[in-house]
Amino acid sequence: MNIDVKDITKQFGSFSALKNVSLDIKSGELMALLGPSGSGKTTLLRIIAGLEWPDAGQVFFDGRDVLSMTVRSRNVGFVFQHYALFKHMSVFDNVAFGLRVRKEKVSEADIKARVDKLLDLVHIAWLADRYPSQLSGGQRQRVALARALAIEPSVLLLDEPFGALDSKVRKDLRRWLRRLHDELHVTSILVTHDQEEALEVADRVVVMGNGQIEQVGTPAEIYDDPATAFVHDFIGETVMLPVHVQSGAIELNSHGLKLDARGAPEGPANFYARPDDFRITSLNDTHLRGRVKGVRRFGSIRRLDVEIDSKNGVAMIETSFPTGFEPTVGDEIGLYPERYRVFSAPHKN
Amino acid sequence: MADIAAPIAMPTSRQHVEDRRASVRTEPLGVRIAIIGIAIGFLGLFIVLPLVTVFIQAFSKGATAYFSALSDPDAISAIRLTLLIAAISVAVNLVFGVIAAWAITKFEFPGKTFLITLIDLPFSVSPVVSGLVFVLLFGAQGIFGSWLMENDWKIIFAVPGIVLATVFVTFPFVARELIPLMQEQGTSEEEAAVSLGASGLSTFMRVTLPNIKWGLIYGVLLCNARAMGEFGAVSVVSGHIRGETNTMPLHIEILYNEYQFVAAFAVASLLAFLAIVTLIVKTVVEARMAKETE
Repeated sequence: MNIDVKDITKQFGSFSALKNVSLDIKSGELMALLGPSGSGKTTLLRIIAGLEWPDAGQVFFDGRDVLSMTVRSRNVGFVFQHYALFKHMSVFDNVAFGLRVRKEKVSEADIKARVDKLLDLVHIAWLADRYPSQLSGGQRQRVALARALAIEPSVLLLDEPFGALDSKVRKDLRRWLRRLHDELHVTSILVTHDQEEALEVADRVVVMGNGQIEQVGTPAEIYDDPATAFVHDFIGETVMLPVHVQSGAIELNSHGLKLDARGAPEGPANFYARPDDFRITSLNDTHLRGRVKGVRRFGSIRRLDVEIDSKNGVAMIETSFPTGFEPTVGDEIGLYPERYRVFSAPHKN
Repeated sequence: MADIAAPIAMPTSRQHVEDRRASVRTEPLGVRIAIIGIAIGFLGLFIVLPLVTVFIQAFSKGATAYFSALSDPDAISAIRLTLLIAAISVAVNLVFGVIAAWAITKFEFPGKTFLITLIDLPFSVSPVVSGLVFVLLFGAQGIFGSWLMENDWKIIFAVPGIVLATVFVTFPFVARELIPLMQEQGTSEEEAAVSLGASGLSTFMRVTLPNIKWGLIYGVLLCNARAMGEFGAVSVVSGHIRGETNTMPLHIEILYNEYQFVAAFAVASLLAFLAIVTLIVKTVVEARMAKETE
């Protein structure tokens, strides 16, 4: 099922949750909506589901306008952050709910067969007679997923499905969700604020901020090629230095290291790089020059805090360093950014 | 090592906990006894003693006098009327209480806070005023009085007036019980139900109602107890017509004023008995509620 979202706008009082959002989701794709809280991702998901109505705009499922349809008739499977399981029903009855309330009657024997199959699929067949309060968070979310899949939804919508789980369970479940998606190929939209989750699980990621879409792309594109300063800042670790673009170049420090401005317009801008993007060089080259202020190691991650003289005074850069290189605090080192981007700085009023 | 050490260590650690607990209760033994004594003594004097007195007085002339007082035609008529009024008021308040709680907790609309405050009005206003309001509306000199007279409808000094006054006075019980419960439960289960294809009615019957079941029973119970026991508001609108518009509380008052103490206390014992049954059921329901919300 292709989902087409066109110019959706939604206000809550004076707060605009969504500003002219348009998005195409291809059939069979697992799309992640990623953004900080308040970015409008959950509102967008609820509008697609029919639990919320936009102030303006359109939503199409395979070219069919669904805004005139109720949730009931949209045939969407919705998985809630806090599971929203029916507390007074057993796991079996929870999963069977969608089959029992539909207009065309399904026989109890068929329901039993379907529910058993679904519970098998989500690996909780042995919990069929339990009640939600007797289950762990991970088990509850599996029940919620089985319940949503029971109606054979044309779209599966997941609202922070792993948000309430601890990190170990979360990792297991999201990998399992990915495998499940590869099996079922149901068009799915996953809302999350966890970038690791989005980048690991999704076919494509939509990064949202302040009610707008910042970038749509594959996880690799989003990480390696952030389209805006917001995306660079939000995804992964970021080293940022204020610079000035002049004749298509930026100057990072007073030593005369000039770098190409990468098409950024003339005027104030920001230099963005990842800690992994710096190469440590000898002091003789006309590179960034800095003094090691701290050495940190946690697990496989190795980081240096380097103080440099930027054009605008002293700045700290966080950089990774290779094994075999053993710096100590106070060392002078040279740095060269292998990869970076320049985004023009927003005008400060 | 740990296996051997554990049983020996246990008593000491428990002792330690006991010590700590004792140190939290800083009041000396005498003070504790005094406080508990006052609480129990007060309850005994002001609640248990009167309750026992009701039954003692009712049976003071023996069981025969007791049952003859209850089988008096006026008494039977009062009991019947009370049951009828309670049945109607509870049914009405059940429906409107659920609707009001539903509206307040599941939708956003202007004037919501005002509505919540308004629901409490019957609790904060004197029952006499509640009765008078209906006399002013439907009485012979009231706003709709002449219209009602022309159409030969009797509301004040008749059963409909008593029902109206009782419904008014007992309205908050069901709604008040449900609002916090439904607020806490939120709307996500309902949203899940409709997304799975359930209709509004089916969502209510299969999801909402089972979730509020115990709260609803609790509210109905309190509503019923109050409906049967209401005196002030009913007294104003009833007109005290024996065998016609006298409810049990009104009947008791009349008997008492006529110095028929045994008869008065015999009928009163029924109300007291109802109170005790209500308390027992209430305790059971509370236990069930606590279990469900675990």
